[in-house]
Amino acid sequence: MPDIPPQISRYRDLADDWDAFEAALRNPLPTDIRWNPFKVTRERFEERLTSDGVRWRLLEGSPDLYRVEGLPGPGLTWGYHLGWYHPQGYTSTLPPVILAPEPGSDVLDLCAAPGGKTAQLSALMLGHGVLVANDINHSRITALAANLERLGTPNVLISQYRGENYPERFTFDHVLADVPCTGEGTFRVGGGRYRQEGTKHLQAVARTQLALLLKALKIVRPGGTVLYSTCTYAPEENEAVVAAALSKMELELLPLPDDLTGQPGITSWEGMDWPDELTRTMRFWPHHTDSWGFYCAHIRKPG
Amino acid sequence: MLTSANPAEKRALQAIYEERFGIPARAMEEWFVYSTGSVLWGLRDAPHLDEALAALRFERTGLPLLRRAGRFWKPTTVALQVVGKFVLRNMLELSRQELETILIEGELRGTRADVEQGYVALTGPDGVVGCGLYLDPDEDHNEGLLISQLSKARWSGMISSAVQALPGR
Ligand SMILES: C[S@@+](CC[C@H](N)C(=O)[O-])C[C@H]1O[C@@H](n2cnc3c(N)ncnc32)[C@H](O)[C@@H]1O
Repeated sequence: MPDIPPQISRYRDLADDWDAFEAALRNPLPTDIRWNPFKVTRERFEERLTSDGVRWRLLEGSPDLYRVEGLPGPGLTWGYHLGWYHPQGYTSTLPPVILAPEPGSDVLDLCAAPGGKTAQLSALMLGHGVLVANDINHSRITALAANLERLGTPNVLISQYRGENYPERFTFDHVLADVPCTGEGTFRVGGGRYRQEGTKHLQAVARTQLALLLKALKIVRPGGTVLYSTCTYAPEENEAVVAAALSKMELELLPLPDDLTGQPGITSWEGMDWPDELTRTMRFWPHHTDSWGFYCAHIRKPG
Repeated sequence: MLTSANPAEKRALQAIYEERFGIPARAMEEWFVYSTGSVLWGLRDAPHLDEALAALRFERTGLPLLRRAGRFWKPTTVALQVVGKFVLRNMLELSRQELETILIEGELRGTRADVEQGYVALTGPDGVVGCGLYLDPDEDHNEGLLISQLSKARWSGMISSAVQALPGR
């Protein structure tokens, strides 16, 4: 049986149930798709799944997400090419749901490519309001643009700035900082998606994450909100980054919706201590959600 | 850089979507139309759109509505899908199998009485799929010719699954 890499086994005491966690990592990831309201009504979409023999169910806490069985390959269907849905893991739909931008608001998705969350933000905004999708990487922007065109998202402007240097001339009501991370949360045994990197890499990634979060907090309007998210278990990339931002400015950590199944953020790890408020952030584990490992912090800038 | 579409460009948009496809003007009313010379882009209006456009540099905005093809403008698959439910004319109904053939082969033969020569909205059992070009029969061909305008790259997943499903595979 292939092993769990050391980067993950170091969380033995962090996961509330290591055996269940490890068992979840040995199962293949289920297929989740998000219904896209810009192309098809929910009724027609559900009817179509059913008539194609696809079994589906809705998951708690993400109203437009369908867990499906029997879809030939989510990127190989008419529905995909017509933009009726987007393949998106359950936990990766949570940041937009938590941020919940109102129609007509101004929203920045700071690290947006390949755009699953951008399209979801646009749907939550009912296609109304300024939605800027930014990414540093040109080829990933090409993929982002292709996804947005397929999904018919009508209100997205794409920019290509280094997030840390994002201009401050225009401010936003909400910023999603779905930052680059070590991606440990996407690891499944045999899944082949996880690269092992050293501690130096982890430190460099964490520095970028803090710079991105601080910029997000700078360009959000007073009273506005920032959602910080990663797909990693590493406390260095999660609680430590949020705690560093809290130590630099006055901020309020907002509680996450009650219907989400996660573990509260932690307040100490390997000799580091963070304020109690960090328990308002949330860690999502595969043995709770059968999805990617994820972390979310919902932050309000005082108005 | 983004500039608002000029009157000639706006006229082209109207000629294609309203006149050729019968889409009511109100279906496209909410779009702000920008031009990058070779593409007209549509972006849904928003309260602070002008301020955002003035303050930041954008790579692309909204969805492509028309693309320049030589001296002419051509409708995009992206826009035809979005306004698909309003298309009244020059709509070419194809079966699932015909759609798969045109995706794989790039074209389909057969005279069609119900469309005018030029760009058409290819339609299947799930509504408008995208853009095609229909040519009437001529001296060389006694059948009409329908040429796919769907991007092979964008539809690659569908093309490979259609090829997989071909009999004999
Ligand atoms: C976790 S992924 C984003 C996934 C995306 N939010 C989605 O839902 O499809 C992180 C993205 O950040 C981008 N990125 C990395 N460093 C960046 C930086 N300094 N500024 C802006 N974007 C950056 C990467 O190119 C990558 O596309």
